[in-house]
This record gives sequence, C-alpha cells and structure tokens, in this order.
Amino acid sequence: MAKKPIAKMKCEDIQSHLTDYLSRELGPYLSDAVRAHLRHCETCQSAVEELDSTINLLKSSTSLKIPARLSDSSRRRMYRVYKHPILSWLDSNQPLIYALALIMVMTYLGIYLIVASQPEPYDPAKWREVQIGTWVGDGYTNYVEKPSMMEQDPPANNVITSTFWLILGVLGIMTVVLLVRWWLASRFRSLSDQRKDGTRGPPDDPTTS
Amino acid sequence: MSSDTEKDLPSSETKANLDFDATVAEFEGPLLRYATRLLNNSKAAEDVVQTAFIKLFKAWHTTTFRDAKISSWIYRVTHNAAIDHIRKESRRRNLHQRHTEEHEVTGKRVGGPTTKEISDAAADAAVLLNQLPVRDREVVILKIYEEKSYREISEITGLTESNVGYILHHSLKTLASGLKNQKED
Repeated sequence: MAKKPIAKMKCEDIQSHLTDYLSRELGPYLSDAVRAHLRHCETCQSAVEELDSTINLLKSSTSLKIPARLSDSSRRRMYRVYKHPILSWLDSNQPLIYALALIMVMTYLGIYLIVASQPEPYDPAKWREVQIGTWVGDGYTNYVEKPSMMEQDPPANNVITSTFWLILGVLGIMTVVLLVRWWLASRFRSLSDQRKDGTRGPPDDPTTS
Repeated sequence: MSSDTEKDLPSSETKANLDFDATVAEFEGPLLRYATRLLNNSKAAEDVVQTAFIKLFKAWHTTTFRDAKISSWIYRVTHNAAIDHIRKESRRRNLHQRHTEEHEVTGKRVGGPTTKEISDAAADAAVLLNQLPVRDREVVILKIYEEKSYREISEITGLTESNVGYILHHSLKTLASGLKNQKED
C-alpha cells in the first residue's frame, strides 16, 4: 500500500492509528507521522489523552479478586490426571464403565442361559435301556413287546448349582475389575515413589505429603 | 563420563516432567489473571486453567514445543476453554432467565460487579469492559492486562493482526465514550 505523505494525513487518519500508537504497534514511519501531528493538533491530543486515561483506568481497576495460584483442590485434580491418567480416565468415564460392566454381566448371563438350555450330551452311564411291554393272557406266557425306549435318570435339581455358578461368575468379573484397578493404582504409586529418588516417573504432586 | 555422573543426570523423561512443572509454575498466575478477567469469576477461571494444563500435559510428550510457542499455545487453549465455559453459562443463564420470567422475577445478570456496588471510575471501567462482547473484551484484556503484542493476540484468538488492532481501537473508544457519559450523568 502506498504511504500517505505525513503532511496530507488528516485528524481522521491519525485518530484511527492512536490505539496502535499507544500500543507501540505502529511502524517507525507512521509513529513519526502521529507524533508530528499530535504536536500541533489539540483535537487529536485530547483524543489520545482520552484513550490513554481509559487504558490507565482499566489497568488500575482492582474490583476483581484474582487468585495468584491454583487452589489445592484444582492442583490435586490436575496432578491426578498427570500422575494417574488411566485412573483419572476411569473416574471421569464412570457411566461408560458401569455400562460396560452391565454389558459384561448381561453377556455372561446370556451365554449361561443359552448353554443351560442345551440338552445334556449323551452319557452312557446315565442312560439305560428299558423294555416296555404288556403281559397278556395268564400273565406268564404271552408278552407283547413294544419298541425299546431309552430312559434317563431323573435330572437332579440344578437350581442351587445354577445360582451358585451365576453368583460366582458375577463376583469373578467384579474381582477382576477391582484387581486391575488396584494393580494400576499400585503401579502408578510405585512410579511416583521412584520419582522421589530422582530417577524416573512423573513429578510429585506438591499438594500431597 | 563416569557412571556416577550419568546417574546424577536426570533422564529425558524426568527432565521433561521438570520442564512441565516449571511451565505450570510460570503460567498459572498469568493464565488465572487472564481467565478471571475474561470470565469475571475466579472459580470458573480455575477450572478453565486446570483444563488448559491437563491439555498441555496430554500434548507434552507428543508435541514439540518451542519456548516461544508454549505461551501462545497455552493461552489459546485457555481462550478456547473460556469460550466454551461462556457458551455453557450463556445457555444456562438463558434457561434461568426464561424460568425467572415465567415467575415474573426481575434480575439483570448473575454475578459480576454492578455500578451500584462499585463507584470509582476504575471500577466503572471494569464494569463497562464486562459489558463488551466476549471477543472485544478478550482482545482488550490480552492487550491491556497481559501486554501481548498484536501478533500474539492474533495467534491466541485466531483473528488477523489488523483485525486485532481494529477491535482494540473500537473497544477502547466505546469504553472511553461510556466513561465520558457516566461522568456527565
């Protein structure tokens, strides 16, 4: 853009550059132009004074209480993410974790019910062949034989056993989840302990002893 | 180099962590100041700054920061988090306002200083600043309080440098005329 000669710059042009001038964001050419204009123009002098006093008023405003440092609770939360990212992720995604745990339990229950509804596999020890026939006549001479049938021993009452396995399965899943969580926590704790020796690991949380 | 000397030297990971700690110590004050002024709420500002540091930590090991860029980066993240907070607050406030209108309760704004509470000119300036649109307020805060250059403000806000100058000039003129009007009243 072609530079406008300093002498031809009007008050309007100068005033549009006053904030940049006060912010020291003008190049040397325009700074000189503004400075030269301000020397003899009272209108622009009052405009620059107005802007300058507004800036000073803003700077001197102390109505807000501004904390110098993060509070202990914020710092603790921040360092928790810093030191235990996985635990922190688990904590911040609890609904998802609960949903996954529920899906796991429901899947286990579904698989269990499908398997339980299947007929038992053939076990010769449990089955025996029986002859079903009818004695006719005097009851000793004429025996009419019907086709043989296989008969199984009456099934045992499996309700208690099924419930036991179901509870055991759910407890098993819960135990695995808790063990993984405990292992992760202890692993991160040991990393931060190593850090105290100056060897490795994330920095110490200054808010905890 | 002896093995003892090697052991004394911090590993690259520790060095990175120490650097991160130093970065937190260096920027927490300025960022809290910036966010508190922008949001007019120190509690919300803490949450915003905490979010910014968490994002910085997540990017710490994957992004190569040059010293000059960390400042702009962390300010930009704080700026984005603050804008998100303002949007959420505004939605919440709109709901609240609708609710209060239904119950015929009058109330202009939630939180923040009012002219009745604070009477001196500096406080009036702060109140007028809070009445500016967020974008204008943020440019004024970054320039006047954080003393950032137009280029830095441009990197933080995503505005062009000439746009920053234009917004700053018009915001200051609005504030100056507002203060003048109050003086006359």
